[in-house]
Amino acid sequence: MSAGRALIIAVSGFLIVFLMLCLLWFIIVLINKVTDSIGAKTAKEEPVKAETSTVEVPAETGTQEAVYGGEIALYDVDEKTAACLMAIVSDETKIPLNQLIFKSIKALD
Amino acid sequence: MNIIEILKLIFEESGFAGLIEDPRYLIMILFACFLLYLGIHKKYEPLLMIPIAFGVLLANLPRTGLTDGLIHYLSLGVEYGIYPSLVFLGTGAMTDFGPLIANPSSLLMGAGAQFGIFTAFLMALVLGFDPKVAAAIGVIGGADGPTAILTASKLAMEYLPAIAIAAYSYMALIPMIQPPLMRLVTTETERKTVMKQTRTVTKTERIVFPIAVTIFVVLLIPDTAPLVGMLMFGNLLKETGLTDRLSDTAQNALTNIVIIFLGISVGAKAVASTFITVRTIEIVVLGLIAFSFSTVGGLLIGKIMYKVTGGKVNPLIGSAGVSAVPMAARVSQMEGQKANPNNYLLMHAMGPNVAGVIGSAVAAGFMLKIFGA
Repeated sequence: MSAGRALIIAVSGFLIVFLMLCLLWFIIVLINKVTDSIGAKTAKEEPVKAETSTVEVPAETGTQEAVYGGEIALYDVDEKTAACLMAIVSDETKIPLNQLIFKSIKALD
Repeated sequence: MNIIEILKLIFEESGFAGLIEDPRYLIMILFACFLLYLGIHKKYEPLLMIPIAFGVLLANLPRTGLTDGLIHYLSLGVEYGIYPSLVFLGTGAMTDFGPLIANPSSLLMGAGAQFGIFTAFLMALVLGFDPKVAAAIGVIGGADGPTAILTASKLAMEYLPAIAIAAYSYMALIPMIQPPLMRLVTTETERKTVMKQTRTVTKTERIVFPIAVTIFVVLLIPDTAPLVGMLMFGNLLKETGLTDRLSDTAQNALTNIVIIFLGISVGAKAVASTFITVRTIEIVVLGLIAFSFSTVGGLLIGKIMYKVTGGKVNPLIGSAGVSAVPMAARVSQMEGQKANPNNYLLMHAMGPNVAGVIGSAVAAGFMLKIFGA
């Protein structure tokens, strides 16, 4: 193989790796944009549902300050305790954490 | 027939007589013991080093006939590229692409860290290796054992053991090879850079990612399908949350079985007649060069990103692009903490680290495309 051809192969190989990973960068950004827009649409629809279906929520939130950690509403519970509780529930129910959805955790008197 | 004649007959048909006939077997047995020492005592990639070493030992015990029987059939998995792909399936099921999805710019460092592959390829050509063999040697620079094995099995079967042993040895030696290069290429100020926490990645993104990567990468370079396809399939099994049993099997039972077969088969290819050559030493040296250039390539891209982002990216994470997961990322973390004890680079380094896995698979696919026909 001639030196020129070898050099062309090496340079073009390196460039293709770069281009391919740049394409993946673009794909990741695209996935992020699409999921964000879908998430934003869902978020717009959810408050309407909440207003029509739950009547007692305003009274509760009036007395207890809700702290939002990710998608879970925490009422008088710090994030560390909430994490422990979620781990315990997952362990007791034998349901993996990635399949459990917690909507809110509230401290009882 | 008297007792002396019987003893003489037993000796003449034993492996000991074979050792006397061809003392190179003895050298290979000692070499196998040395590899076992590295794997067991020094803990150099023991999960693969021990099976490979034992394969070398078995293949070099004369007159066993193993290489025509059991090992011959086990080796078919290497020859047809089945084992490396299945290892990638397990790797995908174990890999968290979250840091990469959260910070996709780290893909550039994963790409930069493939520099050594092409440098070693050119150097191997200068040393007079056949272009196919040179391509297989270069892939050692990707620091990805299964990728190196797959490429060698397709392009340079006779050099497979040397390439595999070099790849896994250097992967084990990452904590020794990389830090001096990291300190050489980066400045104290750069190493002290603290990076901001990355964003949370949604479950949908995690599920869509392996599907999208498979479609786009495999459509563009079909030769990457055995590696990228299996890697992403394994990752999808993990991320859906609906196939936990399959994911668990891919991560544990299947990977363990395949690693046993792969290690024994690769080791058994290292027979005295083909292994004890100057070419083996050259491959080992070229592997080290490939590895070093890949590390420097990742670091240089890291430095560029440091400049471009106004000091928001710590260039040390660039060296993790060599893809030895998660060892290379840990080295970035350790070096970062040496410069600044409040530096936590591990999760940031996992981005280039997993990008490197994809990058080396793409580079191997390119080599197979050019030289495989």
